[in-house]
Order: sequence, then C-alpha cells, then structure tokens
Amino acid sequence: MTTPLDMLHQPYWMTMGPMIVVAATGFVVMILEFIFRKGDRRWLTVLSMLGVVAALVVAIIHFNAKPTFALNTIGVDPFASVFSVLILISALLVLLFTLDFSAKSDVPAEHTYLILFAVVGALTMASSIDLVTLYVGLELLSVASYVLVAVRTHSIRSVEGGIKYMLMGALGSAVLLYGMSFIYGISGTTNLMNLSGAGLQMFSTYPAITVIGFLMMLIGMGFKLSLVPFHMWTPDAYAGAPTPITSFLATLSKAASFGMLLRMLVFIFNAPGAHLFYWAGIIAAITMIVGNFIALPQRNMKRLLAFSSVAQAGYILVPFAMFGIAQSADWAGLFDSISFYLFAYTFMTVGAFAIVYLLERDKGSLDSDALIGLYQRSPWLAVALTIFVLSLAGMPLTAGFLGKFYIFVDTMHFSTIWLGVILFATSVVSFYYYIGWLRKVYQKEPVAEVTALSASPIMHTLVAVCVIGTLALGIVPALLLHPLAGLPWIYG
Amino acid sequence: MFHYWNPYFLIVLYVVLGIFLPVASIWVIGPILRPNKPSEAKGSTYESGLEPVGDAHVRYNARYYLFALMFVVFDVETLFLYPWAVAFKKLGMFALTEMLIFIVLLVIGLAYAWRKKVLEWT
Repeated sequence: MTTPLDMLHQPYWMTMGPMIVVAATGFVVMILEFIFRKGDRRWLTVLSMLGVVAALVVAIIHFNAKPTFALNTIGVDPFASVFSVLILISALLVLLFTLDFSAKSDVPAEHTYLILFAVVGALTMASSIDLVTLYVGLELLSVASYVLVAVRTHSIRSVEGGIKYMLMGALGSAVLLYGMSFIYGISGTTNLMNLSGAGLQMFSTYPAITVIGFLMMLIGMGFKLSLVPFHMWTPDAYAGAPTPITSFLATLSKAASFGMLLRMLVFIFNAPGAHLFYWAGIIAAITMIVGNFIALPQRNMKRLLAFSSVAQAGYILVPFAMFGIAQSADWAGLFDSISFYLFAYTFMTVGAFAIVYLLERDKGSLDSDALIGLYQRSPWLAVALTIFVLSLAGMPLTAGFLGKFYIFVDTMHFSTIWLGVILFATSVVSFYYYIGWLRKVYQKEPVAEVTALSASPIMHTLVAVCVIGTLALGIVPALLLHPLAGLPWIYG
Repeated sequence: MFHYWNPYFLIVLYVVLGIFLPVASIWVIGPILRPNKPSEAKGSTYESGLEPVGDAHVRYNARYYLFALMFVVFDVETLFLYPWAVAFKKLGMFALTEMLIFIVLLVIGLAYAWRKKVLEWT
C-alpha cells in the first residue's frame, strides 16, 4: 500500500517533462504578451516554438526509457512517447503556420499560448492512465480549441464556428463522461491499470452496462473526432476558424483524441469485449462512406478539406475494429499502422491547409476556382499542392498511400476484408474530388498576365517541411517504421 | 422481504403525497376555500414591492459573465484552500509549494484580466 507521501516522490520529470516544459512556456508567453503590448509580437510565437522544441527533446530523451508512473495517473510508456512526439511535431508545424498569420493585426496574440495550453491537454491525453485525468486533458484541449476557433472576434463566421464547436463538444464531453461513469459504477475504479485487470469480470457480471459504457465512450470521442454521424460541427468550425487554427483542429486535436480513444478502449475492453470493437468498424465504415460522398459537391476549399478530414478519421478508425480479433501479440502491428497514418496525415494536412491559406489571402475567397492557374503562377507551390492532394487521396510514393496500404493489409490479416474493401472503394471516390482540384491547378489562367502567388519565406519553409515529410514517409517508410518496430507499446 | 420493499414504499408514499398536495391545494381545495376578488395590482409581477418596469426579456451586459467567471475562479481557490489547510501539517513543505504554484497561476489569471480591462465597467 503506497501512501500519498510515497507517490509524491515518484519521478515527475520522467513522466511529465514535456508537459511541464510546454505549460511553463505557455505561462511565460502569456505574461510577456500582456507586458509587451506594442509592435511586432511574432517573437512570442518564436519563443513558443522554442518551448515546444525543448519539450520534443525531453520527450525523445525519454523515448526508450523504462515505463514510469507518477501519482498513479500519469504514465510514460512507448505508446505515450510516440503520441507525445507526434503531438509536439504537429504543434511545431501549427506554430510555424501561425507565425505567418500573427503578422496580421486582426488576430489577438492570445492564440499563441492558447495553442500551448491545448498542447498540454493533448500531451495529458496521450500519457494519462486514469479516466479522470484523461478527461481533464481532453477538456483542456477542447476549451482552448473553442476559443481558438472563435479567436477572430470580428468575424461572424469565426464566432459562429466557435459556438457550434463548443455546443457539440460539450455534448460529446457529456456523453463521454456518462459512459465513463457507467464503467466507474460497475468497477469502482477510474484507473486504467486496475480496469484492464477487472475487464473480464466486469463484462461477465454486467454485460449490458459494459456495452453501454463502451458505446458512450466511443460516441463521446466520436464528437471530438468528427466521426459520422457526429460530424455536423466540422465544416462550420473548420471554415470559420482562421486557417492555421483549422490545421490545428485537423491534426493535433485529432491525433490526441485518437490516442485517448485507443488507450481507453484497449485498456478497458481488451480481452472480454472482443465483439464490441466491431462497433468501431461499423462507425468507421459509415464515416468513410458519408465523409467522401459529402465532399464530392463541395466548392469551398476549407469545407472540402473538412469533409476529407472526416473521411480520414474513418480510415484511421478502421484498425480499431481489429483489436477485438487480434491477439495481444499482434497489437503492435495495429499500433504501427495507426501511428504511421497519423504522422503521414499530419504532414499532408498541414501542407494542404498552408496552400489553401495562401490562396485565400490572395483571392479573398475560398471557392475552389481560386486554384485555377496556380501552376502558371507558382509552379513550386502547385507541385507541393499536388503532392499533398495525391497523398490525401492515396497515390503510391506518398505517405498517404502507405498509411492506407498498411491499414488495408491489417484488414486482410485479421479477416475483416469488408472494411478494407470499403476503404479502397471510398478512396477511389475521393480521387474524384481531389483530381478536380488538380485539374483546376493545371488549367490555364484566363487573364493574360500572371502574378506569382505571394508567400513569405515562413510559408515556403512550412510547405517544404510538409513536402519532405510526405515524400520521405512515402518513399522510405522505414524512417518511421524502424523506430516503431518492436516497441512494447502498452504495459497493462 | 419487508426490509427490501420498505424504503421503496416510503418513496412511493412521497411521490403520491408530492403529487396530491399541490394538485389538491391549487385546483381542488384552494378554489373552494379562497374568495375570488381579482384586481389589477394583484395581477402585476412581484418585484420586491417596486413598480415593475419594462419587459423581463432584456439583454444582459456580457460583463456580468466575466465578473461571474472571475468570481468562480477565486471561489474554487478558497474551496481548495480548506482541505489544504487541514492536511497541511501532514504534507508539509510539499503542500506549501504546490499551493504557492496554484495561487501564482491564479494571480497570473487575475493580472491577465486586469491588463485586458475586464475589471473596468465602462
């Protein structure tokens, strides 16, 4: 029996290092922001990026360390490390993206440290082993995101998106908490370590309540992950938010939510609830089909990317359906394909949003006609967009193709081929709207004189980093798969 | 068997009484007993003895919410300080540092609100 005093001496730095660094940076930036109120304040964003880099260094140092737990709530195992690194990399990309947008005066500087606080929440979601702490992390991420969506207080669309996101997010949180309360009610503990042992007994004694708990937790996270039919807020929030924030919602927030969902479901419902994971497969199928088909008639570029991100969430949910079928020895492969897809998805999505942002600023409209003549205007950006879009669609030699390929192989391996077929078929549908973009990109501009699309060096760097990420993971997947291979993902 | 249904019986009794009493007093016994002399003053909205002015459906100033938010933050802080004070002897230096960090974070929040002119009404 450990007393509270013993627990206090557990190694905090090992488990919470990245969180402490990011939170401290957030507070420092917040204080500096309200002390220095004049002039160009982009150095605040640079400072935040330095903090995130420091946290990334800490996370990588602890990468292969022995799993450690502090206060029985925060733990660091390979699963937490991989997701922390993913979250911090996407935070770095998003902050680089906001660096360009901070130059505009109509956006308050609050977004810089709101992103940092959201990252702290995301890191908590990746590394917590207690339902209550996981929920606190989720709320920290969500509340910061609601404000971030509505950060342009003068734009009615931004505020509308923020309010919608907040209402749907609150509903999702309520459903999630209700599901957690069922699990707590029948097991008497919120600690995932204890729950993973109690799962079998819980399931044999109260099967109905366990099923309700599982479904409610899946649905609650479904609101955050914009799974169909809980995706209604997505296009409005994505289109209303400033574009860097949209890329934040699409990558960082989604990666952290997938991490949390994976950890909760796999810890609690591993062995006994095998057939429960089938529900995740059904939701994944609906999400892939609906997301891709609604995206077909979209003309607004950000709304199209929003529906595309709904569909991508469906692809990533596919391996969840296999956790019930696979033996725990085979789980490593599933973890590999989920995290590979999330890494690939981060690079290609941030890149696509970066170019949409440049076009939006140039033309003042989000209609996909803004793409016309992009190749004539800026060949390099047009080729970059081509790479991102083909990767989102799943063309070979890009990261997106390999991500889908690994998931498809999983479905064949664990004989849920119907999910693989839906994944393949809906990807073909997605080619239609992505190729529609490319047709416009390579179309000739009707006007005689062409002006190059203006982009700051920051945006060129961001696009270049995303292109390198997308191509590198697509051509040499071992870059990522090698460190992931043989990781003892979860200690349960 | 008796001690199982006994508490439920009490609940049923409460439910029956809870429905019977208001229904009886408002719709059945009340109308029989009370005299019926309506006047304009009796029909008006009760506002602590003042003459009611305007409509109840008015827009509140958003600043009320900001003040309420600030109040809740420091209310919760006080709530945390009570168990902390009780357990302080046992936890010692560690608890002091923890609480200092907590209060410093709240003070940063207050300073932020101050700088952003949340505390000014105009």
